[in-house]
Amino acid sequence: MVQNAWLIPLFPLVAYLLLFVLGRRAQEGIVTGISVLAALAGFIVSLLILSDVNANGAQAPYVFHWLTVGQHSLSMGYEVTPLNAMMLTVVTFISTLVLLFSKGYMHGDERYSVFYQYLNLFIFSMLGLVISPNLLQVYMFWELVGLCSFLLVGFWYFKPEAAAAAKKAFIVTRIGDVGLFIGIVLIYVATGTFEYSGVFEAFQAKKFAIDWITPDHLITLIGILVFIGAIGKSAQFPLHTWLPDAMEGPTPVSALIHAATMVAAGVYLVARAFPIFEASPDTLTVIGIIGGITAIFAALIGLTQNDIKRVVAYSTVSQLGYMVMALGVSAYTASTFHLMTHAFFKALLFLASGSVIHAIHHNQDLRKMGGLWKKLPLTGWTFLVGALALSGIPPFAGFWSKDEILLGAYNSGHYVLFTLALIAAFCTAFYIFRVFFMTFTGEFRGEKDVYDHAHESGPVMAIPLVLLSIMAIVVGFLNSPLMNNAFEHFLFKGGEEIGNVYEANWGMAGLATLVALLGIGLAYLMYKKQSIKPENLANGALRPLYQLSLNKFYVDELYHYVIVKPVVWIGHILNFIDKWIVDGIVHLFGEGTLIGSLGLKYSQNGQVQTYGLVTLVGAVLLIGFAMYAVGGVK
Amino acid sequence: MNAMNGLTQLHFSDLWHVMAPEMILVIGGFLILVLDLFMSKESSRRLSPQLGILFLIAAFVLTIRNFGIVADNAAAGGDMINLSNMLYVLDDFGNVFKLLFTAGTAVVLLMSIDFFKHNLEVKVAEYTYLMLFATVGAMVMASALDLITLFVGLELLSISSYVLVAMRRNHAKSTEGAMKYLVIGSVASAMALYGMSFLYGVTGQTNLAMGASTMLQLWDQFKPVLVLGFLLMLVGFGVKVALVPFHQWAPDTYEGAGNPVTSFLAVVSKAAGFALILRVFLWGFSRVFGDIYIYLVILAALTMVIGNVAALTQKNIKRLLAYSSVAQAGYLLIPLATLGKGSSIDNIWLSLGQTVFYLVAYLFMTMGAFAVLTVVTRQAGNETLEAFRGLWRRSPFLAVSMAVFTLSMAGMPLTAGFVGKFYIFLGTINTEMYWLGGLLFATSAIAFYYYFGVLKAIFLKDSSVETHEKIQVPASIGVTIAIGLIGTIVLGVYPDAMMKLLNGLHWFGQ
Repeated sequence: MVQNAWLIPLFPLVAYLLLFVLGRRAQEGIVTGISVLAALAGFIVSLLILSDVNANGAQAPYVFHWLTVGQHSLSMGYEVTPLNAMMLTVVTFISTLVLLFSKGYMHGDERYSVFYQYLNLFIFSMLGLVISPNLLQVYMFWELVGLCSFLLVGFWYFKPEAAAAAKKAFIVTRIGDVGLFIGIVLIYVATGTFEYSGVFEAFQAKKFAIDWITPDHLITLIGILVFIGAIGKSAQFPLHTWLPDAMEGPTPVSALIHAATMVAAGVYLVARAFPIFEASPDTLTVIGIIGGITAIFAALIGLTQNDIKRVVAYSTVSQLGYMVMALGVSAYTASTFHLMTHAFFKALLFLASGSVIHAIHHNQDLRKMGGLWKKLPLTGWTFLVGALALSGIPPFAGFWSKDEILLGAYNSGHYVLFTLALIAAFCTAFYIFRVFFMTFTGEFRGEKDVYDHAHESGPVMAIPLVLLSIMAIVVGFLNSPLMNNAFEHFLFKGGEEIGNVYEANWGMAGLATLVALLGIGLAYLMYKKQSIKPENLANGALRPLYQLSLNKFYVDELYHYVIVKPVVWIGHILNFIDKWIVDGIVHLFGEGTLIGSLGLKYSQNGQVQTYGLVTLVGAVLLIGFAMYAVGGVK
Repeated sequence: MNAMNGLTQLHFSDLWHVMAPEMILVIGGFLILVLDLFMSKESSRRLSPQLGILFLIAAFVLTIRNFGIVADNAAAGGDMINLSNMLYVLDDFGNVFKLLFTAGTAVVLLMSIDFFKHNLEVKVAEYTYLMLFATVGAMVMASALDLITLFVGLELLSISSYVLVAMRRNHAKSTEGAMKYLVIGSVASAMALYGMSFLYGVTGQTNLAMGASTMLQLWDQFKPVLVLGFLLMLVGFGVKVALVPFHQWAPDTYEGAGNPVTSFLAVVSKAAGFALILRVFLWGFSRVFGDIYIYLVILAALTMVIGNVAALTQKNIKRLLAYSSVAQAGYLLIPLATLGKGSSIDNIWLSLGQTVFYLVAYLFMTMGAFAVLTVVTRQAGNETLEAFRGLWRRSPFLAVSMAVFTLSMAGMPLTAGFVGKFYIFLGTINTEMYWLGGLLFATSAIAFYYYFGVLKAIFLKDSSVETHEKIQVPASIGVTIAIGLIGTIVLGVYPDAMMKLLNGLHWFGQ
């Protein structure tokens, strides 16, 4: 079955092409049908592959020769490892549900079909990235993923915020891409190959074709450059600013970006290419620290945001921080496991928020919600499941994976990172239940009219929610002692173990649960019982801290004044030069070309005598020049 | 055997061994000629092109057989397979070009079936056997090593082509194009012959294989005369492949000729011209290339720049393609020109590979484009860009095909045209002729501009188009387009197979 893995990205690609041919006027039902069927087919093939890998372990990549230029030869292909078999399954599963959910959410949109085209292309790119056996191919799909996210975040381009957010997402991730690109080029120059296997071998042997730097330093340099790519894509500090803004896109897109595609790409790359990072302890330290900072930083910001999607967005940034930190402390299994569980409950939270937003006329402000439990019981229940999973309450999925990360951080001796992660866990539980209580309990704070009309949105939106809820409850057991750590055994099937694995520790589990419960309890006191007034805190002693969090630690402002403004000024100067000097030259060429073309047209006057004359004059000039050059004519 | 005499007694078996594809086409041509006398007009019109295609396929197959013969001979370490003291040779260089010619002409005849239906004044049997004879001429140009034999091949191709252009007798432009082609072509032939006479004068040989070593010895002594001979030949051949400034006949002739004939001129005739250029200059001048490559560079640069710039303001689609075909000749000259910076044997093989790869890519995209053009311009009743307006709505198949072909000509990645250009570009980097490579890129950028004009017309919504009538594509044209599409995309996506094949050839029999 593994040899058929190329089918998986092919399905959404075909769907994309079909939709493209059908054009924008295609009926909504047909558009959704094609897309969902394609994703579903991909999911079924993924499942078959998953069971094949489970039985037979990882297999050699399928590579075919693409191009030979001189001594360099490039190849393309695909590979299936336990890690990407897991990713394929998760991505196709979530994509199927998101595509289905979008039918309700995007109903009536003028560019409905275009939206589905982009989504299919997006899914294709992500799947292509996942099955790539070499870094060059990864880079191509990486860029394609970026392009699609740009198109989708800016889908409602007539909203200025959406257009700005799309631009920001594109530019900020591009900064990371530059790092990745340089890293990949260095890898190729140093090892002569793009293939994972070849690169890993070279890194193990420490034999490189670059001599201006010692092998150890080169390993660190490459590791950090590649990691910069992951920082951009997976929204790690300090390039995290694009992700919350990307909320301006339609909610199904957010679900896809946050759960299965885009941001997962960065973590996936670090996990897939882990031997590159593992070869340098310094790189790992950097990765761990960046991850830890991101986890706590985003969690703190999440505490005070008033936009429901923004809170969920910061929770993604924070959870990605966990995964990256886990990789940094070599808790490889924990990180990939969290990548998987997070995909399910984050998609769930997003779609549930989408359901809320859809029900109350695209309002996202928490301050205008409340008491929606009675109106939206199904959404309420599923959101609760997602929130419990995110907080890490047993037996929900997030509990098992987050617990492993905390354990990994503790056992590796990075106690500072461990403490940060623990505080972040407390904040996580607090902010997500703050959202829950503000949305579903108490009185509705918006217009009464809106509240009266709020209702659940039918089966296409309900089915994905229910399915994801089930996954968010059960998927965590996969790597629990209760199932004999099945996920871990699967992950290393037919290959060596990577990173550190620790025995489950019930004390740690208890501590994590306790912290989460404290967070939930505090949220309950503040937003349900109202025994602690949030306003008092915000305007009282904690005001500076509150402002800091509310304004996202002023990172955007900092960037604006330290980077954007000066760059704009340089831009103005360059613009001046461009407009008056470069443009002049270009115009000269442009006009010159056109005038030249017209001149040529007139010399082409249709007279065969002229043609003969031109031919002859050409010959004479050529011969004259030659005779002068060879010295035949003195 | 008397080496000085050059003439030895030939047996049929020797001839068949070396020139089977040529012979089968000559037989086929005469068969059609004779059959035409005995058949009714209708059956002759129907059968002749089919017979022609059949013989071309036979020649194609026999050429493929010849690869095996050459490989066996090379493996056995034998001398180059030849007739009459290297007068005519069998090597993979010739074989590759013969494949190109027979395949190209077969596709042209396939397109012609539709052309005959709409141009009743064209005499089908004549047309068909002239095509076959022209192809034989092209084959001779690729396989002879003797200047006189090469010249005969050139004339056989040229004279057949003049007549083919004039075939639409009731068409004023057709006659005009043929007349211009004849006049300029004759000037070219005269110049080439004159150039050859200088070579003979200095070396006393018409045979390139024999003459090259003598010429090397006498090079310093008779440099001006030999360079003069080289340049005259270059001008003569340059007219055939439409290098600037010897290109001016091309737009008029391309416009006047029927579409299949135009595509024959653009593909087969041009490829034959390049076969001749490579054969003569590589065999005769490869060791003194450092002295003469600069003229090739000048012509290549001029051709790329002027061909592309002149295409900018063309409104007639056939003239646009004519100028684009001029520009392509400039790209095609680059691999040969790069040899001036190092004509080691490896570089020669690389240059040949680049030229042939581009010619094959060029064959697919040009044939395809002319096939699309045939249907579209006929329906619209004119040959301007306007005919393509809103094509997307009238026939998505034609629209997408034309988009692929024009993008390939412009050099868009994932098409054959890109790989071909990129391959040539790498050659300039390899020999450190960066500015020539740069010029290749810059002029390609200009090309993008006018090709986008075509794309814009095809895809943009336009309410001013009166007709939304769907276009019916005749089967023979549909097949031609499909061949072009498959070739363009396969070579673009997976060029490696073709490059491997080219790398494994015994170009000159070794």
